[in-house]
Amino acid sequence: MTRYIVKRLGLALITLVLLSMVVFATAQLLPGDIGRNILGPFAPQSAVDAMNRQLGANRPAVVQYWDWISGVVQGDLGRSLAFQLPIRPILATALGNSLKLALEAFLIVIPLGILGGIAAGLRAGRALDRTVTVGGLSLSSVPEFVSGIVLIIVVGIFLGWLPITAQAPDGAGALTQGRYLLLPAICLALVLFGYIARITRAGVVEALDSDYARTAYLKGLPSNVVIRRHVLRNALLPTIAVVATQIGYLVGGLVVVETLFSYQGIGLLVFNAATKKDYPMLAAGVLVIGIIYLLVTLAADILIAVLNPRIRLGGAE
Amino acid sequence: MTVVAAGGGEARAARSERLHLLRRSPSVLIGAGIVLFWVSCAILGNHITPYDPIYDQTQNIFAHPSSAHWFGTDRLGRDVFSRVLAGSRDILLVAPAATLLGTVLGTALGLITGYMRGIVDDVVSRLIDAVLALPLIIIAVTAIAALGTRSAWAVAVVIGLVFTPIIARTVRAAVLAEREQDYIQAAQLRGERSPYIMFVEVLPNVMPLVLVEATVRLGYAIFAVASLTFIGFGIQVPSPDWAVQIFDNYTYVDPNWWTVLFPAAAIASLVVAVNLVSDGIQQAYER
Amino acid sequence: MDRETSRMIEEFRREQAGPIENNLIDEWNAGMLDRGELLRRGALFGLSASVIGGLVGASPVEAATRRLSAVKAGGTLRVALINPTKPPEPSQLADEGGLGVVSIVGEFLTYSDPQLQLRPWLATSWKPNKTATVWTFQIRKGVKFHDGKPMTADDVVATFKVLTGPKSAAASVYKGILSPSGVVKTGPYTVQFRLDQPTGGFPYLVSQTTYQAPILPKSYVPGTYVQSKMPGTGPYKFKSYSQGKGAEFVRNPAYWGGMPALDGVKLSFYEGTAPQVLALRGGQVDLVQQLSAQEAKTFAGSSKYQVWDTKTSNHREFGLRTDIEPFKDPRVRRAVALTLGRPGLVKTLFDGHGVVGNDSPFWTGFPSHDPSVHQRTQNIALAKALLSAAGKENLKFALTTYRTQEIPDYAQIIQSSANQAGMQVSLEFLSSGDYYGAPAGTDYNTNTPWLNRPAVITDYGHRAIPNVFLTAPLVTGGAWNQSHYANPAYDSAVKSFIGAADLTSQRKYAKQIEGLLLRDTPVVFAYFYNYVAAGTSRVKGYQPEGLGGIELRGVSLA
Repeated sequence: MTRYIVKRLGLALITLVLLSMVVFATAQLLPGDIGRNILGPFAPQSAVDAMNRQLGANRPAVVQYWDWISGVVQGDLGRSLAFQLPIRPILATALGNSLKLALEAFLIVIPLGILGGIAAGLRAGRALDRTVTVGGLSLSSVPEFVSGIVLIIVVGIFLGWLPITAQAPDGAGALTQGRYLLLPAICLALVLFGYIARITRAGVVEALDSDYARTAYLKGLPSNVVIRRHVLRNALLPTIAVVATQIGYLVGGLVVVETLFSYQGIGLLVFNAATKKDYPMLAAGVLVIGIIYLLVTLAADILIAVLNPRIRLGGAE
Repeated sequence: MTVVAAGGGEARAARSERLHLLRRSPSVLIGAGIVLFWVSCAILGNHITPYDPIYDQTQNIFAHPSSAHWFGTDRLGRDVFSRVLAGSRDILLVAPAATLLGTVLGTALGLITGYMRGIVDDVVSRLIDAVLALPLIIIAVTAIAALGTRSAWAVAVVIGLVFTPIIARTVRAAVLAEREQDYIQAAQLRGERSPYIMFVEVLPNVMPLVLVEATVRLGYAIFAVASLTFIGFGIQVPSPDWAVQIFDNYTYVDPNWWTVLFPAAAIASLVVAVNLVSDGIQQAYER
Repeated sequence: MDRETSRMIEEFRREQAGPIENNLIDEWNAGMLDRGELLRRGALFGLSASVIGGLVGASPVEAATRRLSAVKAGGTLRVALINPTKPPEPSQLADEGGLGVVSIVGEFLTYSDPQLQLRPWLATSWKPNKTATVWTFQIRKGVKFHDGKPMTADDVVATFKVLTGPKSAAASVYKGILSPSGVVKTGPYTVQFRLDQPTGGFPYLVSQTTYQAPILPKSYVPGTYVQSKMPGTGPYKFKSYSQGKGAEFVRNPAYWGGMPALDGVKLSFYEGTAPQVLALRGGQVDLVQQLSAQEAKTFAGSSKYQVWDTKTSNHREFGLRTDIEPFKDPRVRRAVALTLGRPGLVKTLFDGHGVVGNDSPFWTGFPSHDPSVHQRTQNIALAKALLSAAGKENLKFALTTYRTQEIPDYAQIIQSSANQAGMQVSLEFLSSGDYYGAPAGTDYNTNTPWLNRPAVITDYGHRAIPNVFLTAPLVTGGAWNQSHYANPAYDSAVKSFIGAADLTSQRKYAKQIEGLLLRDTPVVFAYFYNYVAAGTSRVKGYQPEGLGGIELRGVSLA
């Protein structure tokens, strides 16, 4: 087990280092005379040259990369060109916002998805199953900004039940923030419901079919006990895997939803950095998203290993 | 049931059985029908629209849906119904182009890494893992910003390139399985060179898988192009493309909901349809 | 007019009035000016309240400083503005967000109100010499900067030396008009501006419409505005500034104009107007700096909100390069201009909140505009004929601009209008950074899109007099001359116009200018639109001044 964890950790680290190089290389490609970007079109060329010298923009790429990455490791993410402020607090706030939204979306979709999957799995092949499966598939196909728009129009405008921007006023309490986040959270839940329900259902069907479950039934155990003890546990594994892969999407991939709902999450922050050529912010933001994704996948893999005895005992992945 | 590369008669029977299954599945039929509808709209273009989607501007801006304008008018007084009908063309050009690019490059990459293995495979796979840690839209936005242009073709290329590693991964897995087969060993013994083996022997046998992947990716491509257009990258005004309409009119969605709802429904219908079809194909091949 | 008053006026004409003032009184007596115009010009030339009042036949016009009468005090005003492109620096200001921020703490020598009436602000009075080449300003006494130091003529001189210097973004206003050596202190509270050429409207050029010109302390080091805590003399002083997020200001209890009503001001920055509209609707702000007429519609008719709609000379210049194909031939340019349905444009783009333009900088709201000039209207047949005569049927061209406010819609309307005459227009939208910028390491003037593409749309903010619009974009070698227009007849007509102080001459030169521009059409001026702002009904005493400045003297929260 420990060997497995160490191996995964090592792989993750290598991937991370590679990612940081790719991110840095791309960010450096952003057209740019950085000095010119900061000082604007009317500044004299001598001032621009001086600024570039001051920022060290003329040094070889490897040196700049090393400077940057050593700073990052120590917690210094650099300085944003657009905001003229240190990046870390800005990024931290945006990340916090994204995590809040992700949390609310998960709180809605995981119970619903698992319940739906279980119900479908137990009644496999029948009407309920088909509804959940096909319905879930269709909902997942609909781009999240389309469902977001429909929600905004129907729930926010026609019915007026919920606010159509997700950013609660400063200092609002948790409940108010939750209310503002409800529409985008539902929107995301709709996208994820299909995946989670489907995976859970597959797990349930497979578990119900297993020798173990059949033996338990034959022994006379009531079905809900069988479900609780064995089916659920095995159905959980793939669900965790799905949740882990979706976190990367939820944390960084929500540019469109954040735009729709005017929500200051990390996706929108990175998008703005890209369009404004704020390359330090872009590099830092993209790297953080990558780190989170890798960490979560790692954690999920380890969790699955713990829950699945076959892996724990060193069987094939 | 795996496809065995022997006996043309067996393969043909398998194929026709699959087609039969597809034809009988209601979801596939509905999906295909919707796709065909939008494709014909894209081809017929302005000929079927009651008003010109770009040039027929009136002063009756933001008019409610009515008998004169079934879907109302938008911010420049253009008929939304006409624009929705005409709006399928651009996305039906860009998304398949992106998918094609990604499929071709991804298949090649998958074949090479799967067959050659060794260092090339290891390094490339690590790089792919690194980049795939990021959500597609972040990669796309960064790449497009680095390129400096917002045009639809830049978007197609970027999406195609982003799909390449994803498709490569799937193809690689299939190739890994194929290369152990007898006919490959036979070819190697005959002294055939690697490129020949990869593209002439292995490729036809992974082709079905590639096709399934491609149709799945197409759904994502439509979705990705629409999302990027909505945030300003890709298809630009004054195209009646659906995502452009949403991008253009979203500020005034309250109370002019019809300018946004109908294009959004059109996008949803196309994506769902493509996914229904690709899902059906996937299931047909899985049996 | 009673004998006492007429004697006073006689004495004024004999003893004090120069040719400029006398001309004004002659025009008034000849019935050429209406009362509003008399008030405006009277203020412009620094006529005393009693003289103006005597002419008008009413009691003396009150010195029109804003009076902070009994209003409810307290509360923090929350304002939504467009994000400043970078931390503001007054002499470098070029964007609406930055000028909005500076307008909270900074004050100017004069104030041009929404009726284009000049009012004293940090200057209490001013007077031209005979030829309007020297203007003498009396500076208000008792004004203190936020750090407590008193404001004197030295501070005014220091401010203007920077503004007329090499690094100033106000070059478009002062180039050829005023040089650093022309800014002279002639007394502890008197400053003389010795101009490079006669300028009848000079006091307008030191009002808030030259938003780079708030008065700063002489000890101020340019480039340190935020670090130096935004020195100024205004009713609110700097507390904090966070680029990309917002800024906070607190009451200045030592304000020369009396105790300000608000405890403080909180600005929030937004990308675009849509989130500002949402913030106002959601109760997160009390006031929005500017929004479109369409957006304001949702607030009209509700007792919880109010909408301010000010007629201004804000406009867009649809410029065509006169020195290269395909627009070298003026017939082609006129053809393009003739395809536009101007009243329809104003209706679609601004819901009617604007007026049509006649392809010259002369907005109908400028008194100097000559109403006898014929208004150009849509004429597709004539446009086609002109294109034919120039050999350019089925002309194809690219229109380059950027996305802001209604410009993308205007571009699309141009596209479909031109299409009616058989022309094919392709649209190229750049980001505003790319449109107004130039690739790194290249010469700005020859590489920036807005000054070089064959067809562009650029936005221009409101001014109280057309001087800047006449010079910078259209005079040979002008700093903003996107059309590369070079016409000596035009240049000399403009010079005469600027030098003229009386209305008759101004209108004469205006007519010449308008005629030249209609014939050559280097730029299509299709409309001038109103400045629209909105806020909650709690905001009292606010008047948007048309450019984006947020002037808070006299503003309180109910």
